[in-house]
Amino acid sequence: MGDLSSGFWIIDDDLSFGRALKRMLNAKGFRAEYFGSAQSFLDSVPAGESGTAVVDIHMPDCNGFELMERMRALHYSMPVVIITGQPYPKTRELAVENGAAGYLQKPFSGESLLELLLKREQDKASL
Amino acid sequence: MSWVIVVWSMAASASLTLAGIHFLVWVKERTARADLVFSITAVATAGMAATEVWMMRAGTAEQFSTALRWAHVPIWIALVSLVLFARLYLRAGRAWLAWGAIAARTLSLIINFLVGPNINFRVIAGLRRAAFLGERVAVPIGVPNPWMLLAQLATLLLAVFVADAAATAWRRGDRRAALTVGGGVVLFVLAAFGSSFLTLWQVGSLPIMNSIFYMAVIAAMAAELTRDTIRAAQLADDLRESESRYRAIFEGALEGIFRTTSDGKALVINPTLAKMLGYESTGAALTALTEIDSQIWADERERAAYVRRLEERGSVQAYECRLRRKDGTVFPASVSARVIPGAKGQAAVYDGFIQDITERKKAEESLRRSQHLLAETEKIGRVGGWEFRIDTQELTWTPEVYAIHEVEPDVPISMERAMGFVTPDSRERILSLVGRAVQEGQPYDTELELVTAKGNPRTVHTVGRADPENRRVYGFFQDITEHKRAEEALGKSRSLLAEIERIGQVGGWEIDIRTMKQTWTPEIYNIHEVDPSFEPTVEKGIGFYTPDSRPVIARLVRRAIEFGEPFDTELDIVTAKGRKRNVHAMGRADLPNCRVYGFFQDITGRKQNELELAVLRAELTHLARVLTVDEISTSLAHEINQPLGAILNNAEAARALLAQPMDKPEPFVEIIDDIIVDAKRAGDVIRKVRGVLKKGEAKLERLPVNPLIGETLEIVRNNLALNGVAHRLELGTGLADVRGDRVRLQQVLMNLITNAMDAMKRSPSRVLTLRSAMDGPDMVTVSVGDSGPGVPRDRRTMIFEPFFSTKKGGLGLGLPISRSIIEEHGGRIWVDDGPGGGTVFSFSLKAWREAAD
Repeated sequence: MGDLSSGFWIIDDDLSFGRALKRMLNAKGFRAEYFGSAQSFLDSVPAGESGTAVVDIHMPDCNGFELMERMRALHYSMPVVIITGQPYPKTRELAVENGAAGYLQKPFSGESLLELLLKREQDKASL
Repeated sequence: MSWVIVVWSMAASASLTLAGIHFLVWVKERTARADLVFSITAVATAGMAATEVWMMRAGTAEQFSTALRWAHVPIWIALVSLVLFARLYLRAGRAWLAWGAIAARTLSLIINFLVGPNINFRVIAGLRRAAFLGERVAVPIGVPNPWMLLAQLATLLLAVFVADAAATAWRRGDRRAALTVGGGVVLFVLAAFGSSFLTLWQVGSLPIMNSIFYMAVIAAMAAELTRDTIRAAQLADDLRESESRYRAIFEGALEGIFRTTSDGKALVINPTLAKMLGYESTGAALTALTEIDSQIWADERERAAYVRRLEERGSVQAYECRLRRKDGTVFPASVSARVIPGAKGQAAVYDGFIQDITERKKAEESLRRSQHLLAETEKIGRVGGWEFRIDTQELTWTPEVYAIHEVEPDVPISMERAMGFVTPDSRERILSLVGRAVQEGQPYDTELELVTAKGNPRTVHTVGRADPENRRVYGFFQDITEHKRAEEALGKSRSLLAEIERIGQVGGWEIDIRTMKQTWTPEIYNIHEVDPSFEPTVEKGIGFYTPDSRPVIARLVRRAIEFGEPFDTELDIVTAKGRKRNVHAMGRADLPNCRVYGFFQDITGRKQNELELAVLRAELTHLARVLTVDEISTSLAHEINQPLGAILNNAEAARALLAQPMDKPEPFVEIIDDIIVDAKRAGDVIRKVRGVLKKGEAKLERLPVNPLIGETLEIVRNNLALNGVAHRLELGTGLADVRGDRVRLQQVLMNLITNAMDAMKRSPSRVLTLRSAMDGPDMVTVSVGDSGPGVPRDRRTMIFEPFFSTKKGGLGLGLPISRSIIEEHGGRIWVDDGPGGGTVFSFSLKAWREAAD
């Protein structure tokens, strides 16, 4: 279950961005791991793991939505936040449709990510 | 007074007279042989009288004897001629009796002169004088000669012969002739015989007076002959009368009557024929016509056929041929002739009559022609006649009616069969109409549908009339299928035309130059939105045009009317209901007929479409340009967002770390290094934007400013119109040309104009202002102003930044790119408030200088 304390899994083919994001989250006191591809993440992190996946859409071998599909098929229970550098309005809808926990457009601040997840938890708690 | 002399003389002279008369008859009429024979008998009788007087006056026995001897000569003549007469007149009698009598008497005569003194007496002793008629006459005394019997036999034979002939004649029916001649001859011959028998056999004392008895015979014969003569005269009269009647017919006949020989000579011609053949008289004709074959017959073959037929059949009836007149002209004739065989040894003749059938032929020809014409007319008019006889139920059709029904002509047709051709829909109707015509004499006039024998449908106009007097109904029948089809086609094309007018929103108009009145088709009324009762004139028509268009159309119409110039133009009108319409007006002149005419079309919709189309096209062009930018910007955005995102997160990391107690500077060095790298990356991307947009090297050329503005305006004109944006041009004069890349400068202008239009979207008044002016001697300034809400001051620099856009879904790259382009050109771009509100974007460009940059 996605609680902030469990940490973050970053999947993005942009090394510079991924490193920066991990650095930022670490600096804010969160655990964060960075993967350069969907496959390396799936190989390393089993389905039952807790935490939040932060997934970039535009990756060459397997894009963010495909990864979400595979995670669902493999019974990953962690929430997925979709991030992207391309400002297509449709993408946000798609992300929501596919059950993403959130959608962020780069560049985004750390706050916006944390707020998003907090809000989610609060909503869940109020149900 | 010698009574003997008197009586005998009278007898003799009477005989001689009669003989003379009848001899003359025979001379005149050689066939009257009976008359000749009679005259011989009469002469013989006179001879007998003479010899008897000689005997009675005889002085001596010798004289008497000689006289008696010579008396046999006239007696012989008498007998023979009587035999002949009886034979001739009664046309009967057995030949052997006749020959017997003649033979006996001839023998007697011979013996008479051989045996003396004569056949009657052996010896004449003497004479006695007997008293007879107051005189003393000599009577013979002698010994009778037995040869006398022969003579007497001859006389008997004569009597028998005549009696027999008379009997035959009686039985035949010629009773009067038989009685008179036969009876007379027999009676008086026997009487004479009796008397001389007595005398000669010395019984009585009467002298020989045969001649007196024979007188009676002569009288009888003469009576008969005279009767015949009288009758002959009467017959001749009758004949003459009837001849003259026949002559009149012959002369006056309308036909030519002729008799010709079989070898071509004319024997008889009546005046009509002579005239027909062109001769002045029958005489002239008869003289001339000796070679009929070549003279009269115009066609050798016809002549040969005529002769052949005559020989084969003996007659020819109404043989039509061509004959030639005296003057060589040929005429049609009808010849009827009969062969009259000649008597033995004579050639046959041809009797007949000829009719000049020129008139008849003409009439036939004209009848044939009018029949032909009628048939042709029937065919052309596709009309035929029909007749129905009520009593016999016979239906007759003329050939055209057969043709209409596509039935073989001359096939007998019944009313039943005729009705079979009519389609079921029409059948009841036509049956009742015909029925009414037959029973009540009601005429009818109707159309019906039928199907021909070949299965083709036809529409027919049929008219029927009754003729009760002649118990018939008749009428005509006309095929109007084509006519109906044409009517339908015409109707269809008329309604089609009206449809077309309506759909095409086009109508026709015509001006009568003399009256200046206009004629409009319905669609033009619609276009002008006026009532059909409106009466258009040239003036009124021009009055509908807008103030701008009016002078144009007025001039065009005037020129058409005056000089016959055609026109073709698009103008604006305002309808009677105040709606503005675009119209396409086309006109042509027909001055000889004093008219100008043409069409008029409402093209408002089309214009609208055109505008929209143009706008679309422009948008498409615009979009094409913009899309490229769009694509670029999307991938660029991605490329920029990555380093930006990294920079942001790195900076956040650094900030967060700074808040914590830190001893090692290494993390910060890493972070800052990364930031620098990413910042550079971002810079590269921006540079790439510029590079991508560049489309190769800028083509700098000498450009006149106002035309550039004009061109751009043309592209956007329709877009402006669509959006209801008015434009104002404030273009300076005497502007220097600028140095620039046409395409990119246009792009800048387009961008500014588009922005202006977007700004004015919600403004009540939309006016786009385009201005050009010199800004010092070296710069030209172009401005694009709008009547929108204006740009707040604090935004004025931001709007030139990338990705700033107030438009939903906007990219915000238009102005940055424009700035980049202008700055490339060495100019400036800025924004200001408009004089009466709104915004003005301006840019400046370097004026063209000969010296290269």
